[in-house]
Amino acid sequence: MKTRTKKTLIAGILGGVILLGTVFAQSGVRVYVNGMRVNESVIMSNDRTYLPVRAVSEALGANVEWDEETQSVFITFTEDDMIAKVVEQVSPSVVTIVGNQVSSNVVDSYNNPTVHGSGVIYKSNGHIVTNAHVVKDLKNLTVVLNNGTMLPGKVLYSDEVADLAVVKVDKVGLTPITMGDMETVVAGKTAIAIGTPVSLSMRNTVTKGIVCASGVALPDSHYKLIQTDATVNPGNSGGPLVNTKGEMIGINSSKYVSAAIDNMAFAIPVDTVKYAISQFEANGKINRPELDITLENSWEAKIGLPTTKGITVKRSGISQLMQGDLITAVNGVAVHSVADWNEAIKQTYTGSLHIVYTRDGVQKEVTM
Amino acid sequence: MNMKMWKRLLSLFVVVMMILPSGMVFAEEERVEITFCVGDETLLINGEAVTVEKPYVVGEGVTLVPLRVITEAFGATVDWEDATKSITLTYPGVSILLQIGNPIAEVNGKAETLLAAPELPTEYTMVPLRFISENFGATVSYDEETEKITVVKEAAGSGGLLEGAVDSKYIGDSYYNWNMENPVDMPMVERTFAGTYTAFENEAGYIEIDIYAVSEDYNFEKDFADIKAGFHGSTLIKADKNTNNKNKQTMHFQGKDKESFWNIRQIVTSKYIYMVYGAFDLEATAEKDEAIRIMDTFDLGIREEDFHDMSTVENGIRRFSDKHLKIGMDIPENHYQLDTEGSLNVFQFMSLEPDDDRSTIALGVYSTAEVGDAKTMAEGDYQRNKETTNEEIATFSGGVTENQYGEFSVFEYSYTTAYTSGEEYMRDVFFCLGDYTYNITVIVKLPMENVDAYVHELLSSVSAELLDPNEAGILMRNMPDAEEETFTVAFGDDGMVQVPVSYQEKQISSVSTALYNPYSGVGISLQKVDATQWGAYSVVDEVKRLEAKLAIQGTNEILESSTQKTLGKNNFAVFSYRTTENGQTSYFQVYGYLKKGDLYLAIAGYPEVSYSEKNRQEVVDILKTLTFEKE
Repeated sequence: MKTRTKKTLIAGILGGVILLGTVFAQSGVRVYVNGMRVNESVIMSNDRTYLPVRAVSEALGANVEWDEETQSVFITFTEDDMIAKVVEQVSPSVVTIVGNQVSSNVVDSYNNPTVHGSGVIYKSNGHIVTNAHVVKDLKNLTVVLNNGTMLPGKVLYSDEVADLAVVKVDKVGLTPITMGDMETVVAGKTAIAIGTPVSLSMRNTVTKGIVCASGVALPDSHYKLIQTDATVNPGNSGGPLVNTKGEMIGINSSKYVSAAIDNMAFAIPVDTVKYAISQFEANGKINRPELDITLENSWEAKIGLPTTKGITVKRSGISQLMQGDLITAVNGVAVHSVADWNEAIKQTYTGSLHIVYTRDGVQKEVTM
Repeated sequence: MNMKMWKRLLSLFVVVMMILPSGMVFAEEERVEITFCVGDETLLINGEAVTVEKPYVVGEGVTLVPLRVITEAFGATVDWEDATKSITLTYPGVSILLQIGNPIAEVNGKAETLLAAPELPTEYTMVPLRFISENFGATVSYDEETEKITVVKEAAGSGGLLEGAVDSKYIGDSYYNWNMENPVDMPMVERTFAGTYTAFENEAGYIEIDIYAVSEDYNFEKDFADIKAGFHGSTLIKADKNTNNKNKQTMHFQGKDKESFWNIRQIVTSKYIYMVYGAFDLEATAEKDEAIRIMDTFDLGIREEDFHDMSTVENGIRRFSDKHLKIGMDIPENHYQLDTEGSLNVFQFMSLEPDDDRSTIALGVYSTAEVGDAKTMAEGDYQRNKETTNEEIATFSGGVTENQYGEFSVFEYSYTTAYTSGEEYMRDVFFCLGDYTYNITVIVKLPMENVDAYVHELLSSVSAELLDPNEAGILMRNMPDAEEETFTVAFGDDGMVQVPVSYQEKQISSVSTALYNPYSGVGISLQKVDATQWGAYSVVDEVKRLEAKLAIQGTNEILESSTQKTLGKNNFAVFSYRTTENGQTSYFQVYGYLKKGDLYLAIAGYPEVSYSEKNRQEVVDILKTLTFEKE
């Protein structure tokens, strides 16, 4: 009796599996449009893959019309459609970060003012990257998801020099953003910023501009930044700058404000973000060489002109380098400005420094 | 169907059977911890040993674990699709699709690349540990020493709730005993240390609550008239007063002009004056009306419920602290903080009691390099104070002595001053910490019981933390140099004297100048009087004439009658007198010099405490320099 039941059960399941197998044998090929699965059957024939038109086109954001009379398919796809589709796909990954300012001031304790910025989910289990300055001195940190859900958040890592921080919320199944590659960050290409500027009633609003420059060295920034003219305002900090593929190319972090200046905003490039995240996860912080030296730009580098002059050691607390030494390369990377040095360290530093410098006209090298 | 397939399905069957009756499903809020070593057959899942297929590592350090580990620990449901060799894991909020041999997985429909593809080496499906765990909200860590892998999913935590502004129905201060409805649409913009001033403001206007001590000579009617007079130039709408209750007299004003609207209420008790002052944009009618309505709820007393008490008084004191200079001290509840005009290193507090204009507490922090160490500063201040204070009324301690307050060893001195209007006791304390010298001064109005205990307790409450000179910087004490340069001041229209540069000068007219020493409080008026009309020829006579005039005024008491004194090259006649007004005593010296019928008068006025030999000598030194333009 028992044995028979078991056999029947197994047969039943077997049958089910086979049945399922028949229907889906053809869909062994999966189609993803901009990272999202298109759940329509795909047909393989003569080594060619045939995709369902409507499903794929609409996944791209195109408009599909079928004219019965002429048996024709009309697919229209404008840049507008593409951008709207990108926004639709990326928005679930953009969050607002709100909190109360930590202050011992009597007036602040009474008013409990809130400050806010934006953030980007980069792991589906609740890891969010944002600017360090957004979460600094913030208590009662609350993350507002795109759908309005409010969750308490905790700062896991923060580095003020890179101005990046990671916030964690207790939620799984979130939609992480896809990080782009720096190759796609090219001056002239469209850049879309999503975030919460000025007021919490403008959560996850979108602005669009172009990448004005992919690697600008600002005097007060440690690493190079992307310059964009997508309008950003206070509150956008920490939010993503994305390309037309919906990939994140930067984290919006600052802008120039002046009566004489319009539309100059800056974002931390995605490779710096990836670097920071991997450093956070591996070391809990960003490992930088602790060198007791002060470096100075040549006058050309100070005002931003291109130069091959190298950087001068202005002051040295270590024996290997002296004041006046002219550093021209570190770890195999030529450096012509302090920003170059920082970028080189970011790209190559794993614990040792190999510095090429000139002292009294003689080129020397030192490893430490 | 071959045997291999059969076996796979069997294991699948087993897996499915194990999961469906939900063997070990954990609620999302509970903590999950799994520990094991690669190559172990046994894992610890929340402390319980479970035997599994051995986890192993592939590629560049990607640990694959039996799917079972995941599903058991996290309670995910599993669906297997044999045709495509796909596994769908479902967990609240997350759905993960994996395929054997396919490094692309889907999380909630979105493609993600795994570091290693799931494998089916024997009969058990092996999946990448980290990817799955993290997607279920766990953290995976690896201990190099013990080679142990730990997967932890924390119970859902909770942060603090976002806070908004105080939203109780009423606000107030239990120390000053007042309450008012909470002006919720107007954020607070200022509140002083002792709560003597509170202000709320928004775009439509502001409400200020000011509390003063009632002075002895306060006149309600005069105050009422003065405030009313302040409305000249605008339109007065209301000017009411109520003096029926002597312990709670009230006044209420309203006025407006083309742009603004004012609502002013004042309550006067025997101790305090409470002024509630509101100024608003005339156009903002709704906000203005609401603010006025709220102002009119201001009253004495506090509320029992739904009341936010802004008072910071605890056990008779308010704790003062400056986070920048890292110092703190208990301040008695009846002291308020003086607005020391933006100074960041000097803090002063005075008594708010109506009859006490003496009790003071002052804290100062200075760079030791600038003012010297504690002993040096103490001795310097002792000496200077002793020389510049009226010897007749001040009794100084023998000298600088050592003492201990809490953790601080200090140098200190003290003195008592007997003014006409009352006595006070002053203790000046100095100690060093790091690169800075700290000076704390406590002045207490006498008589007081157990002055020593009171002062000792206050000083013992002082806290100070080591300062980083790179952050705190250089802090100097603003005092005139010991050896001062001088500058020329006109005496009359042809005379001049040399005056120390720390004096302030004000030209009153072509023949009259006023000088003021802000450190000692001594003032000197220099004037030239044309006495040729009555043919003056003796300076002593002329000065005696003045003396006589002053002597008959009741409050004046001649101390030293006119005598002749030679100062420098010039002959002066001088007399001195003392006068007491409103309980305050001042001393005056009148110096006269006669030149060709013109009388040059220098009248030096000294606050009672400053009538010391040194200060008098300073005036003499100035007059010694009197010279005239060559004719």
